[in-house]
Amino acid sequence: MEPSLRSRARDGDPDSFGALFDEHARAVHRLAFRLTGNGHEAEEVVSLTFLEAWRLRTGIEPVGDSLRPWLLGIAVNVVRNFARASRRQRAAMARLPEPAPVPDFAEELAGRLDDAVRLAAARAAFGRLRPAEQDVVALCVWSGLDYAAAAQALGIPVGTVRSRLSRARRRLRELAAEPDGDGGQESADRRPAVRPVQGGTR
Amino acid sequence: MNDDQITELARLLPAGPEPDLSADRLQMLKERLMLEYRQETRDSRLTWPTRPRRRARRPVLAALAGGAVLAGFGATALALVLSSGGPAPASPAAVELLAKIASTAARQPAPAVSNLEFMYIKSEVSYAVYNNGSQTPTIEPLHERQIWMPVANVCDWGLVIEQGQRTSLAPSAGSGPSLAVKCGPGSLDNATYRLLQSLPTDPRTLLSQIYGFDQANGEGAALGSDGEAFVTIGDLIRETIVPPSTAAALYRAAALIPGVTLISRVTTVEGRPGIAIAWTNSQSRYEWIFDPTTLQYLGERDYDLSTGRPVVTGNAAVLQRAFVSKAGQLP
Repeated sequence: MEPSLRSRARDGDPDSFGALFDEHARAVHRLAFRLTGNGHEAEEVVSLTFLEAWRLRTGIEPVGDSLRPWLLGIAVNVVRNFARASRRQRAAMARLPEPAPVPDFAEELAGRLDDAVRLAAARAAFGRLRPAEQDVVALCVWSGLDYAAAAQALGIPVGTVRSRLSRARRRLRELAAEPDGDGGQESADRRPAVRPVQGGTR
Repeated sequence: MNDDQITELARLLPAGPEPDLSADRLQMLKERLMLEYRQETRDSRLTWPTRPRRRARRPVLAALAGGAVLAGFGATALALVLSSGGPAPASPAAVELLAKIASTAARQPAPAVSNLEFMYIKSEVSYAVYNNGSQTPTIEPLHERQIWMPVANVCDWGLVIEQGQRTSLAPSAGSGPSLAVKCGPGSLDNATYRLLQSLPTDPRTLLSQIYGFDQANGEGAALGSDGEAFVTIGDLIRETIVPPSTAAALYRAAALIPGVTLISRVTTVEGRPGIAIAWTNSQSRYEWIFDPTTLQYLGERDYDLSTGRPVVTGNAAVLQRAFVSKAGQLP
């Protein structure tokens, strides 16, 4: 079914994009939500991703597996685009050093404070990764793509995916080992619950 | 297939709860998209580029947490209220200089441009990065930024190349519950050349349109309406090609914004001496820098004043502007 979906999508058949949406919109949304921490914006990212996919449809390879990696790669780009857009946003950012996503997540976890603290710490740690590392981590860890699919999604060699992941892991271990992390001032009296990882990789 | 790395990363970075997206909401998103797809299929005017392009990601400006959320909806939610003690009108020196700059701009030739062309602007920029919760920014190294923006229709996607990364520019989906992308000349924060040509040339009318636009878009929370208007104009003159009569009107409109002053001696990020038109409040300052003799626009510099000591948060020096026939093409 997928191959013919591919060729119909390439040819600009709107219904084939409808089918792609049915199949992958939630995965795109989940990724966008995790990257932005914001439900509204995640929806915008979904729309823009599927519009961008439509625009790039002639670049779809005629044969291949699921188009999910391709769509997720577009979604990552859309999120980055959002994040950078204009200096106007930078100006706003200067007023708000403390990022908003943590409360967003924490709200949903009201009553499960440990999880919330752990998640906040994890997000803070994620935020300290380099953008390129964030992308591969989001795709491989949160969206469940394998190395090859992530490489395809991001247009980079598989070896680069691997090395970025291992750099990310190294940084995260270091962060986890720092006594107070850097999760923001509020976390001073709540130790980040990301446990330091002992030993090697097994 | 993948090694333990993923397992360990998953433990270090728990994904958190599933986001909430109802089937209804999903269906609504889909319907809007289907409308766009079908409309474009019917509308033969809109031919999308057929050459596939490998798109690279942009480097993120700040740690993701800070950056992404603020784009789009975030800014409205900040609602950071700055005390406004009734700022003074633009200083007489600033008004005088802006009048000269406006007349100079009005005398520039207006090129004939076709709808399919792109505005190309090359600049050197560096901006502040607020890393995940940090109060003090670090400034990026100065680097080249090239942008292509469509002349007539925002659905002819623009392009940015910055630090080796190519990024297509999505047409703005706007904020709020409406997700439909509007093709056409764009808006004041995503302006095509045709939009700029269509703006009113009476400075007061133009300025009230700008205040109205910022207000409707929820801007103003961070800087106040005067500062937002100044920044809106500054964004236009920095990174578009403004038709002469519109440029003159924008500078004359700026002269009507309270809080605008002249700073007689500044240096661009590249070390060129300049004269600046600035807007300042207790938190920040935005400077447009001009060549003191030719009155040509050179670039911009921004400061964060909130920590008591001015900290540079943005630098831009415009190197080249031209019309080209395709996004990605050099003049």
